[in-house]
Amino acid sequence: MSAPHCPGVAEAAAAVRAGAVSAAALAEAALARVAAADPAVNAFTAVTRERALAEAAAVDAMRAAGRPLPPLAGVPYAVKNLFDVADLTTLAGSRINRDLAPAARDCTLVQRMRAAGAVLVGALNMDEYAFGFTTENSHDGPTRNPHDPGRIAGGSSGGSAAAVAAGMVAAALGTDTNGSIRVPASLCGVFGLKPTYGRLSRAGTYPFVGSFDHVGPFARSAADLAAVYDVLQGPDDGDPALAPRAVEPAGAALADGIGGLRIAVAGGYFEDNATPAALAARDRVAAALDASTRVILPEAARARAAAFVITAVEGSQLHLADLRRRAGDFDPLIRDRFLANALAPAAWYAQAQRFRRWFHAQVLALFASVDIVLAPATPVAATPIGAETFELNGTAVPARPSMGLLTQPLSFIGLPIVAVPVHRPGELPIGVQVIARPWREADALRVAAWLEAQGVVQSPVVHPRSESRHA
Amino acid sequence: MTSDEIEAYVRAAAAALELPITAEQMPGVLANFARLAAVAAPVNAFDLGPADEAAPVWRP
Repeated sequence: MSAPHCPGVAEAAAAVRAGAVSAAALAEAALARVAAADPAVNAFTAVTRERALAEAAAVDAMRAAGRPLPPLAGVPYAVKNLFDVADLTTLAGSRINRDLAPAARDCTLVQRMRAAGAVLVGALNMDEYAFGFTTENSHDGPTRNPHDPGRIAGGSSGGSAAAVAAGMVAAALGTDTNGSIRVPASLCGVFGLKPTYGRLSRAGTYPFVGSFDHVGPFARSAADLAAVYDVLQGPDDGDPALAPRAVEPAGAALADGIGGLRIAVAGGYFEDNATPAALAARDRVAAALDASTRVILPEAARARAAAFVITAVEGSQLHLADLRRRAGDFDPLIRDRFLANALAPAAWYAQAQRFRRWFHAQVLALFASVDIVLAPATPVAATPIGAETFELNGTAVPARPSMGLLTQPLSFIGLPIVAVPVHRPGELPIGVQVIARPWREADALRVAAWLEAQGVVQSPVVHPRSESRHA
Repeated sequence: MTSDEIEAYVRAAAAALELPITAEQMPGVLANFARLAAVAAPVNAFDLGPADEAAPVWRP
């Protein structure tokens, strides 16, 4: 069965606006692509066919009535299964949540996507309760990397990245606490945006670590990423961490290029914990941007450790009642970690939170002399499903936690970051983090768009293969 | 912490939290707690002053 062409966000919306295609036809095509590609990828845990067709019909009716169409009219997308979708149970990758009633209403961001005319095709696989970087979900099975089905898609938003990479949808939503957007974007070769902490509403999403849970989009171009990001912004009393910021659209500035931006590369920890393949991707991006300045984020290793401690404590405390009652229902890959983490002394947590503010001040001071910092997104490209270790600096390191080594110190302090995909002929893709100062998502998106225009980064649709090809 | 101290702490903290840990789970819990303690150690060793307060309202 051959799948129909998958347009990107801007292409789909423009075609619907011009009347070249109906939203209904786009929805049917997306559903056909999911049917054709997902058996090899396992990105979807639910397909919302009826809803997709109803949302598409509403867009087509608006057009027929001569009403102005919203910006994402007819764009097919999907969401990580921790976003509340009316009439679907919010699994958050777990078995335990299957006992919950279906969500009564859409979460804020799904409401915004609907208002923007986007068409929801389904819900996507993830690590249980977002606690992982691999989407090796024991309940729903692993999501397979569209570039190589024997390898992980990354996580925890692995279904989101894989669905976009394989061209099943034009965009997807995910969450990033320690790297859960940037890691799968890197391993699947797509664009991902982790906005500033407090920028986008998390209301109606299943939490993990409130101190640094973020939500954000995936897409196959910087412009598409910005188009989705722009409709997601706005006030919401439902998220206590949402900052009182005006909407700051990023899409309009993408054509401004990179003039005026001071761009540096992150040395030290961000080079010491990357393989040659990851550094080569970073170097390719840095060379194109003529970024020769090196900056050192002080105590980045300790920042990663402190993020680990805060994650351990907040993440396990959230599930303490279920850990007491039904620990055996947790994913075996994470159960014992949750149990151990629940026992961490309070002093460790308080110290980590105080250190966080110290680190934040140091990094903000660095941004007095630079606007953008570059670092690899993952230490390595996608590892085989089931791998317990990968090699870093000649040492076998634990694969599952180590995939977040380069992302974790940055989400820790809420910086906005675009993961841009570097594709190398015959090799697996790997991403680079374009890190901006707080609230300057637009700067990172401008850099991503410029790199894309130069042909340095791109995200072509990959047609999933049935056999592993990378030994 | 020695492995004996870790086990004693894990058993006492689990009792304080009323968190049952089965014999089957215990080896994995001890290994994971040892890993967490090793990660936490350099954070705990970092010298902070009284003015280094956790951000009560987080505004990046």
